[in-house]
Amino acid sequence: MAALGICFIVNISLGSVLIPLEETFNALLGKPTQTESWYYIIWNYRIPKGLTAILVGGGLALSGLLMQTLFRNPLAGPFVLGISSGASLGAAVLIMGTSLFSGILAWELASDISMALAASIGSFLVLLVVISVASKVRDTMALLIIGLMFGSITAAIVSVLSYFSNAERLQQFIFWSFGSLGNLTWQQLTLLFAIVFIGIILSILSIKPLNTLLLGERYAQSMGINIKKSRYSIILATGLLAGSITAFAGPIAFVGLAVPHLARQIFDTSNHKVLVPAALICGAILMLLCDILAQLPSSAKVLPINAITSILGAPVVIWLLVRKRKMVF
Amino acid sequence: MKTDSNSTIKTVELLIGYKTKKEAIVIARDIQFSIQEGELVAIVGSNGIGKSTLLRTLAKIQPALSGTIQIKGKSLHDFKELDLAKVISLVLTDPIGSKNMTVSEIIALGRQPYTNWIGTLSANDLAKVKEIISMVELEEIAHKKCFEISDGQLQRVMIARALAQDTEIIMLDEPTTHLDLHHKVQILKLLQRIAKKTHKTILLTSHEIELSIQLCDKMLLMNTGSYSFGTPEKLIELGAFDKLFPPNVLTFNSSTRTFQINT
Repeated sequence: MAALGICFIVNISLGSVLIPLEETFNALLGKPTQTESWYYIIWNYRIPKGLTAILVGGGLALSGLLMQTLFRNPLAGPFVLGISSGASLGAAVLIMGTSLFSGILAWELASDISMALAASIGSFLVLLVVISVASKVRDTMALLIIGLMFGSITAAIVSVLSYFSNAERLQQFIFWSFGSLGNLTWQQLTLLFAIVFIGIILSILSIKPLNTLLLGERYAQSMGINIKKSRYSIILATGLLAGSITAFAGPIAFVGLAVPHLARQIFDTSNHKVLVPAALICGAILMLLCDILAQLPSSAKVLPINAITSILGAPVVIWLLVRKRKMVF
Repeated sequence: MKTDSNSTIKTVELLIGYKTKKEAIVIARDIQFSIQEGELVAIVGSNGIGKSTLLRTLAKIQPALSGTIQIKGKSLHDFKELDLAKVISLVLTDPIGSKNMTVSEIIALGRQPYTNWIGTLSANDLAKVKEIISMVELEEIAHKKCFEISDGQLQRVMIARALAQDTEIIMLDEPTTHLDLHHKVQILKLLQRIAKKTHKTILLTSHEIELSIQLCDKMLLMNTGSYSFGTPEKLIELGAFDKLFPPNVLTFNSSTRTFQINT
């Protein structure tokens, strides 16, 4: 928690405009700063961005944890199972698809709430298909391959849409797909917080079934867990978390897959009473750190956040696998 | 004729199998038996005859095609999940999803039906777990992770977990598979001891016919299209073991109670 606080402060004290640490504190405490614009930058740009990073990192890590336990597969995550691709499809259809049909109406539709809605619907649809296939296919490996196939189907549809789309829309979509933490207003942030909060509550309510699911579904059932109900609430939580986050911040890779493993390594447990908060906090810290790196300290350039998480996340996963030679799950 | 309330598990005209969209695939029909409290009962038969299907049907993991199953005089159909979890506990062949849990954590999971919404263990739950760890003699490995222990130890842990669930009935699907003879006997003796000591009813499927004859109170022999149920002595008397396998390869010797390979 302390580490999270420090990361948050460091995160908001850094940016393309150099603001002294002292002045950052002044602004945070509501005192006037040397120049008015610093106050404005901190409250209307950096703090929302920092909070978005916390929500995005924590939420994605949690959704990854839920998927990994539900499928009892260390490779599961919002990306691998096609949930994020579903969100991309939703966003693509909204941004580029609408331009194919109507002009004026589309601008109205492309507002942020409808973006969130479209991406969430997209991720839910893919998730539902994956789950219905999952109930038929017992083999989890097959399921992962199916998830990847859905990923490539959605990618294909997105590229068809891109082909017919105009440059403006295409650019809008590509920027969305880079991932960004910085474009949220306080209003959007509140909406994202509300959805992520519901996802977290659902996850906390699922801690007991999640722990029994570690033994397998039949065992969980024999211990009095209503499998159907638990499954749906876990899936709903994942869909809300990954869907809303992808909608607002774009498809951000690797956090969902890597952070639950980090949390398991750090706390050396599989108990979800520890892992749920651990994944949330580790995810939030990692995201803040990635964002600090993305800002390229002492430079005015900002890298796409998605690139940073992948550059950082992929070696972590490889390192984990090589070190343990076997994924302790 | 005993009344229903005396038998812990009773089936009437039970038909088991799978339902597909087009038809019902019947695995075994007209199964009728009753098991009393504190009995150790083995279901034996050759591969694919439906032992596990029967066990899963009795545990309500899969539905019966027709017929009734009564648990302590109440229809299995009428049990809610949580109530059933307090009456029947299971040891399955399914590999466990996470081996990153310690032995005592796995055993403590057995207390789930009694814990609150987030699964907090009460003092009573912890005492129960401790009692079971010493009963199954797992003290030495209680703090080890499951990927650090052997298959035989893991099987004892899973039995301990079922015991922690504190149910009157324990059902085990092939609990001795993959174990050497010594550990097979160890597991079966443990089950016998549990049945004697705690008066729990224990039902297991097994390929260990000769060991089951020595250790079980009753046996259910499943053949294609028929079955026999009773004490091992009675089944030997009836010559039920002779019909278990095709006669040209194995012969049952009723005086030594073993199978012999035909030369």
